[in-house]
Amino acid sequence: MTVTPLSCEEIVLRALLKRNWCHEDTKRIKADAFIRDPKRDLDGLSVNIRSKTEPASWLSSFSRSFGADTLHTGSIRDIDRELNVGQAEEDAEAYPEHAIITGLPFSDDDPERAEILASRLVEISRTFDRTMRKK
Amino acid sequence: MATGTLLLYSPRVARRPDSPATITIVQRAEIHQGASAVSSDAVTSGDYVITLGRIAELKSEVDEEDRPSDHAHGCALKVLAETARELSLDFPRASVSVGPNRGLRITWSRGHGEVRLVCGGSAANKSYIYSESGSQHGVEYVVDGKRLAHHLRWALREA
Repeated sequence: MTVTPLSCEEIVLRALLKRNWCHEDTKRIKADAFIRDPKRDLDGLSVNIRSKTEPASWLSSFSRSFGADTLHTGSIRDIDRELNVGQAEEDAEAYPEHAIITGLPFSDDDPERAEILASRLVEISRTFDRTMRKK
Repeated sequence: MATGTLLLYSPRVARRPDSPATITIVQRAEIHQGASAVSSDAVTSGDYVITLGRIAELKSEVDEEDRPSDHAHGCALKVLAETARELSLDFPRASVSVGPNRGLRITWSRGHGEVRLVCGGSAANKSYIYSESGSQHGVEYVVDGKRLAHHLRWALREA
């Protein structure tokens, strides 16, 4: 799979697709939102490019969603040199707003690194939306 | 005057008699001259009950993918009950969610400290305890109440 890196200035959105990916009491995003799911995130962790996304309609396209956070591409790269944000070649035409964060291990392969990197991603995330949407 | 042991029982304190977090505290108190009394109080951490309620909510999700597996659910309840016995009223409230392969992720946060109990969705998935405090972190692959209590005491200690 060929991935074209996004520019460092690009802001990306991470959708909260599970109940309680944000803390029940504080509504702050949790590390859980940045743990790769082998069924869902085979190539990398899915994000959307903010400048190419209409957030309300995007978040309404999921069967259920609980909001989104924003992350700065340059800050993601600053966490670890193996982390990158880019667009898969096959997505570029069909889903120009879609991108992936690559370099995150699956928690079954390397739990320690998966949890540490998830913690760092939480630190640079900013709350964007906390509306529950259901199809 | 005769001396002896008197068992005092007060049923009012048991918030959830069926809860594994119900902890019996035996207190000895001296009454009268030289008489020893034993009182038995059942004490349950309210935050433990809230945490169990949150897990129960997830377990009743409509979509199977949003529900923890029986394996993860059983693992979490066992470890949490053991931890509640260790921590008694100091058991802190946790946030819960369903992770990959329908595992359970249980998170405690305070200040710069965080502890995550991860119960794998099946025996083939890893279960572990991850904790961090400031720039320090640790992972434990033997998951039980004693170890989780140790991580909670370490990571969530007051600065």
